[in-house]
Amino acid sequence: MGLTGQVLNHLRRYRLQADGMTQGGLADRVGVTRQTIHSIEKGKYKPTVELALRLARELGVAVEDLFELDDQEESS
Amino acid sequence: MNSSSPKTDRRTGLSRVTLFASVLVVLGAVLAVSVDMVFLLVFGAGVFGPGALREVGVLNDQDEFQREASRAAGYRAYLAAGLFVSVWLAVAQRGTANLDSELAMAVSMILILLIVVWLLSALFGYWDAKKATSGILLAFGSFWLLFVVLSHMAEPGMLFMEALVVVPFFGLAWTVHRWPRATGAALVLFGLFVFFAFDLYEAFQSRMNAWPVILTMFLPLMACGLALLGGGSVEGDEPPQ
Repeated sequence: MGLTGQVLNHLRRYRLQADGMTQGGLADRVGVTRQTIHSIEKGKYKPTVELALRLARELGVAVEDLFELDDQEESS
Repeated sequence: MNSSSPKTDRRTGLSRVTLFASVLVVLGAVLAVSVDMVFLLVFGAGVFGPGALREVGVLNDQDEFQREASRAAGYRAYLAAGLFVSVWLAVAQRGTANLDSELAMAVSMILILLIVVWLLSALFGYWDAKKATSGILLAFGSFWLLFVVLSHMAEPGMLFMEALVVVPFFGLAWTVHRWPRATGAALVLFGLFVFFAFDLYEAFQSRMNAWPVILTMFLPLMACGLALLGGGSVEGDEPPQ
């Protein structure tokens, strides 16, 4: 069985809402490289549950606010 | 995951480990082609050292995205190396039914090494140590049994004697579920026994025919034994079916 659906993320929006935090600044706070944050925002990389939880905690939102399943993709 | 960002240079994006490894690679390559090929050891330390240290948990300088990228790259390298070696051997040895040169034998060992390490990693990654070891031992025993039956079908006495070899394999495949660490110790001792009883250390003294035994027998036995002794997943929950 393979999960091939798309995961939408709103990381960039919530990052910028957090006083315009930079990718590097967020990366430092959650313990990854800036490239990792960039790749998540571009949808190139789906983070682990641990990193998703760290990102949500750092930005003061729920994980479901940051990431959601693409329902259109699922139903097609 | 690290509690702080992996240490990378702001301008180059390279970590100190990568920079140090790059120096080793260049130094090793230059010394190997200008002084002595033994300096390929330095080159190898630069190319493979950081990855090997990360795999055994000594080095923790990458975040999860870097690790995933490295592993995807490693899998592609495995496929490329396996396909290349298969094609090379097929072309170089066409017209014969054996490995008639030392070079062909050496190259075939690379193919066996790739497959054995991949298989062991896949089994230990997907199952826990107990189930993986049990499966490997049962496979060993079954292949041996098939080989013996096909070889000595017309000689019942010989068939029986050689078939007895499977008893320890099947026995250990059973004990691994009851006494995993004791079985692990037995496998390590058995592996060491095979290594010295069959003079496998002579593989480093140009005895090429020792390498297949090392790769297909000694390596899996030691890997299973050490995994069981390490006990990381020995007492785990029910593994995936």
